[in-house]
Amino acid sequence: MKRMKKPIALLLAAVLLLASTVSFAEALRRGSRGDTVREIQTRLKRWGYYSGAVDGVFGAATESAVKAFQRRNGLTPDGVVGEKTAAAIGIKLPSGGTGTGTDGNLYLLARLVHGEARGEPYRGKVAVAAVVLNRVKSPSFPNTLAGVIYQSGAFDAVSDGQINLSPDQESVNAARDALNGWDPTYGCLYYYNPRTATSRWMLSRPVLLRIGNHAFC
Amino acid sequence: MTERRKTYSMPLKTALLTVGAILLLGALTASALRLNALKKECGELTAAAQNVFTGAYTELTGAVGELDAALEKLLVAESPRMLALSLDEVWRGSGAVTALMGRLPIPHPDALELETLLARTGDYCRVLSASVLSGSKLTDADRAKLDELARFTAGVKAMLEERLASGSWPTSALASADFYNESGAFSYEGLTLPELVYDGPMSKSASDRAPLGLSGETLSESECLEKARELLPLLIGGEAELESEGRGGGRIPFCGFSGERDGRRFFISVTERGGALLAFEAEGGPGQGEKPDAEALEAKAAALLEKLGYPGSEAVSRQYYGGGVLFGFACTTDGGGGSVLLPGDLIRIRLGGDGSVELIDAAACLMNHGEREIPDGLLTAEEAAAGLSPRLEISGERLALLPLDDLTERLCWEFRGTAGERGYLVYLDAATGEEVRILRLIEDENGVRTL
Repeated sequence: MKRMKKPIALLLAAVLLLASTVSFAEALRRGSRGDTVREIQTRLKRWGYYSGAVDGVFGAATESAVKAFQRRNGLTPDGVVGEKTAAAIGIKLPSGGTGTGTDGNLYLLARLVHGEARGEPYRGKVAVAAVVLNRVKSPSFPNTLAGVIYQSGAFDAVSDGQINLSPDQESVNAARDALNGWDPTYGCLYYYNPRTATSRWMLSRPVLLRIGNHAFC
Repeated sequence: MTERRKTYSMPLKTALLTVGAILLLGALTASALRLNALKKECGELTAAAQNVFTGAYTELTGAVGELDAALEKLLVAESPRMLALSLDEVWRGSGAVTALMGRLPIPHPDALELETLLARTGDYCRVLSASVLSGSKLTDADRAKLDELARFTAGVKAMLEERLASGSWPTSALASADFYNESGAFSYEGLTLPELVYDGPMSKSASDRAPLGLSGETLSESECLEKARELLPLLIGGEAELESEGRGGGRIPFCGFSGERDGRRFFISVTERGGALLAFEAEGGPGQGEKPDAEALEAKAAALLEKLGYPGSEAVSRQYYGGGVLFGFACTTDGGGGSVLLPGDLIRIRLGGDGSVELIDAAACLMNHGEREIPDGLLTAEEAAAGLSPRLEISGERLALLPLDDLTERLCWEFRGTAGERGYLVYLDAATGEEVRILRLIEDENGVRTL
């Protein structure tokens, strides 16, 4: 057996070395909320997979229903509604884009929030959006929303492309709340994660408050 | 038995090794080719980025040159009309400069002071322009300051031209990690930044102003906790254990707490000075649901604000979302023979469809709500209305202290009306009848808001 392990290991290593591009499409999963989730629940309920409330909240019951649907339809039963599962259900996943007309700024801000503050509490998401809007009003930054967001190097989510992911409903709500004037930071222009920040200049600024993983200054 | 095993295992092992070696070689070759292609692509992208930045840098140099020219023209402008036009030109020019600076890979700490000064130059000129249009003259001090700003921007332009001539940006400047790191790559050594002291939307005085709506002693965290507890019955319909979320600094220092009731977490902040409610938020953000009865919710919100110490406040905006309604309530004060609306003293309150409090934000009110003196001798509504457009069909009027920016308010007659199908709010100065501001009033299925 020992002599067999070496060639098998080599074989496995070779397979792993063959670079394959894995693309991750924006999917709906446990924790997602919104109209698309509501549509999924409606359809799964109609087909007998789901018996819970059609409330737009992707909880445990919805996840089980999705898995049951996936098993029945020959899909990987992971409970996540990605492109294949969405196509099988007959719905379109929310796609990225700049939005149209007056919603353009809302959608752009929501994408930034989604890229920068996924995993943060709701008020932390609003706070990130508010920092962006505070920068627009500040003499020290560009004077448009797009100018602030796309300022070269200002946000990691722009530099690494995460801003191009579709925002979830919570990020959209947070952006809307900030555009409606709610500023949990009361005027802050900067934020950072103390566990990962390395800029000495940023770390030297007095912290005015903390929300979730972010320190705001 | 052993001999038979040898007969089978040798060829299989060799086959596996051979296949593995071929696959490994293939993978290595593919990786090498891919790496080469990526390297080439990287070089092309870097060159493209350099070109974009060089182009933006060239544009910035041009924009600073135009700003400099606009400031120099001011030195010999004399008539109010020419002064106002020239000052506006500086304001527009500084906006262009600020936008272009944002496109360059300049570390933020390196450019912070310069960018702030150039933006404030435009802001200062805009304030002067409004003053000139109202009939004031530029003082000698204003002229001297404009001269100083003109010489400074000429120096900035020369610095940029020299930098542009020296070659491309260092590659490290393109990396995001450098945005918040001082590097000295963008230096304006040798240029002394003029000091700008004025009152305007972007001035230091605006950003540093103290809140007007706070009163009382500065409280300790435990005293703030008591204040927060006293507010809970109004906000969540009962009591709850509160945990400290820490203190916040800035213009309104506060103590934050969190708690839970009926399975929902909430956050409450009270000001260190006086223990006033600064903000309340029920966790989770807006929910989902059908459009609620906004009139009933508005009455409930007004009653709640009265109990919180904001009697007489009126709803000035309403937006439906998340199954609830977000209201903007403005305080009022007595004067002019009636009640005067204070739109700048704004409290945002969002109620869920079931009437539960989802959000209260009193920051704007606490910043602005101070004593106001409403003068006598104002125009009557009829006298002021003589200055309105004949196209406007008036449906209501009242006195309002309109905030023009963070530092300035103007007492106006607010006229609500329509022109065709479009709704408007038109503000005329209550003393002179001069048109001050026009807002579009949007009333649709999403609520009522202004643009």
